[in-house]
Amino acid sequence: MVEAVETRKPPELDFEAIYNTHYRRVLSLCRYLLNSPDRAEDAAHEAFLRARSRLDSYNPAYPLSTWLLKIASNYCIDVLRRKSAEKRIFDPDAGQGYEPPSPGSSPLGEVLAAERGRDVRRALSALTEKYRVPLVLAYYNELSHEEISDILGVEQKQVAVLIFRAKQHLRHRLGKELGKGRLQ
Amino acid sequence: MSCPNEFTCALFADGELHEADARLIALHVDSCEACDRLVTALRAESRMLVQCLQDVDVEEPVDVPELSSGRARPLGFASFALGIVGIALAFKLCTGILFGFDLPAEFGWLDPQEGTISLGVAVNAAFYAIQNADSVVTDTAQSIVFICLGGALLFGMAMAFKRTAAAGSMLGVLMAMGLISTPSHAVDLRKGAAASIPSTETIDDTVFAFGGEKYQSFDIAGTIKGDLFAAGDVVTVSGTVEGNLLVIARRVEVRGTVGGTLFGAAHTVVISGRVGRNLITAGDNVNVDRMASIGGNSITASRDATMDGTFERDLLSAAAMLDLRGNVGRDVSFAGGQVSLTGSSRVGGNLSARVGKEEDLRVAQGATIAGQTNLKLPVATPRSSRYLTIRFYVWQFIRVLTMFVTGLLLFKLVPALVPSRFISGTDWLKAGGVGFLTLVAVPVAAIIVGVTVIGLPISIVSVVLYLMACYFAKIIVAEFVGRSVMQASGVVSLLAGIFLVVVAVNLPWIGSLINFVLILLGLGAIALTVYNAVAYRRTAEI
Repeated sequence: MVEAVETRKPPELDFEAIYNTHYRRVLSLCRYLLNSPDRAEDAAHEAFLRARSRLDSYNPAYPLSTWLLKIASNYCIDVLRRKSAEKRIFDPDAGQGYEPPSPGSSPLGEVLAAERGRDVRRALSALTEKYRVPLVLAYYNELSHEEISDILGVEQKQVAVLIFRAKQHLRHRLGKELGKGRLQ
Repeated sequence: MSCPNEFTCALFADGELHEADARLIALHVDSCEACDRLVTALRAESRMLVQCLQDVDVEEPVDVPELSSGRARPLGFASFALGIVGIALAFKLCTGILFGFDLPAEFGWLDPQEGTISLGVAVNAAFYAIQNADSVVTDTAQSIVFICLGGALLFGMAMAFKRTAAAGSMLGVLMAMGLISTPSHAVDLRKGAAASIPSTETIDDTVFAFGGEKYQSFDIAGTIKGDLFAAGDVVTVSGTVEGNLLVIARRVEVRGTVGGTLFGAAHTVVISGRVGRNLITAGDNVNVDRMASIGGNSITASRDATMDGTFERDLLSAAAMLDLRGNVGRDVSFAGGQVSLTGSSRVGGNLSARVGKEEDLRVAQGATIAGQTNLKLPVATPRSSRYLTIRFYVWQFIRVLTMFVTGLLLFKLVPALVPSRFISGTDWLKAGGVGFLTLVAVPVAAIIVGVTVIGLPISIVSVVLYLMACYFAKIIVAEFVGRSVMQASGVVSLLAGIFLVVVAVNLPWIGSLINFVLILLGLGAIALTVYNAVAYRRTAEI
């Protein structure tokens, strides 16, 4: 994992540098969230334009990457909401409520799956937005459930349920792909 | 403590449990080998997910494009609308300069040469309106009310989205009040029994006389020096009104004198006195007596009209049946069913009659016509504006509705067609270009493929798809328009967008061009969306 180099200089001095440094990270996030390279490029671009116009609101006490990723996340989620005829895409399924999901397959083995990063990412892209977005925010942006609930506008326990189910779906997909029901 | 479920363990592993709960689980995990294994595995899984997701940043290099503010700046509705109308106007002007301008039918009334025809059309329209007064008035009023309400509702919603619901509603109410209220002046208001003015009374001001709640009859026998506005069952003016008279009643009788113009709307209008200036009446039956005299022009629209008496200037009549017995100082123009001039009648100027058949104009022996007699028989359907027909508004309403339902289904079934990728002016320019190519290329390709017998089914299918795409094109643009206007996406914005698009394509002079440009844009958007979807699937497969 490569954490982008944080800039502590007054940001208006070298936005170009900020852009060049963080573009990759922001683009990846947009790709994960939007699941489309073209739309991700547009979204990353738009996120940086928004960041540039709001540089005054950036608090240097926090990492710049966190701030940029938050702007990009918010923008992508707006795009997803606009795309979906159903606005409440992250709401619980009818009838399922907030009941904790039943346990499914076992956790993915660290070493085995890490060697197959590409497979994991492909399995992730096959998930629906509802599961993909919270998972990306949790494991790519490394946000807490509380922060994710703020961005998605749903309750914290709902975020927990979505992430738990998302991981179950992921295990299931990877398990099928690798020809094994359960991975240890 | 029994073993916690996997969900709780996952929250614990990710550090998302509350402190007290986390302490309990930690204690349990320390003493339970199975839970310890599960929590360890879950933590490893989370680490692995972080690693896998973030590894993409080092595994796959990307080019950093130049950051330009022009690239993806969202295109506002105003610029979009201005662009479309601008393109249409520029095209119209260019073709106009090259090939000469032609005045559109809608502006025909501006052409001085068309003046007389327009008058004829107006008279015919008035005549038609009288004949079908009930249905025409009801339908028109309803249409106008619906359009106004719909517009106010959409505007209110737009305002509510931009500001607050309260501000939007207040604005709507204020607008409605502004539309409904009329200016009022200080007047002499008389109602019910008091509406009658005895012959001994003289009023210096303008009078509003109403029959009251029971809609009574009253008689103005006295003198009114100002104007008289009257409404009642039978309104009789046997005295003098020095100003104008505006009267609405079941029956109006003017036996006295009206110094100004008489505007009368009634089932029956009987004039036997003197009208100083013009006589303008509409009714089922208009009867001007032998004793009557009209100082100015007379314009009447009625089913039956009997015109005796003296008309000092022109007589303009639209009626099913006009019986002219009196003396008209200047021209007589008639449009309608039948006109007959009795032997006692005299026309100082020309007589022109717009009737269905030649025999509908009857001039009795002894009748005098100083000028020419022009008989105008119907040669072709008079050019009338489609905007004046109720049919037009009904059809547009149906059009909005069908587009809306189609749009809902379309975006529900194929959400990818929502033009969310098309946000900037450049995007839409690109879409326009691709749309033009699609518009031209598909039929050409269909013809080429269709020439070979084997290709015929493909050709037919592609033409059907092409026609469907042309229909969907405007809905797709409407979605963008609605979203831009309402600053939100949803059912209401789609409806608003479709409403605006239908209004735009019906604009006089440039509507058809706007229609064409919108089809180009929508078609391009569809083509690009399909292309992107196919291209993305291919890269995903690789």
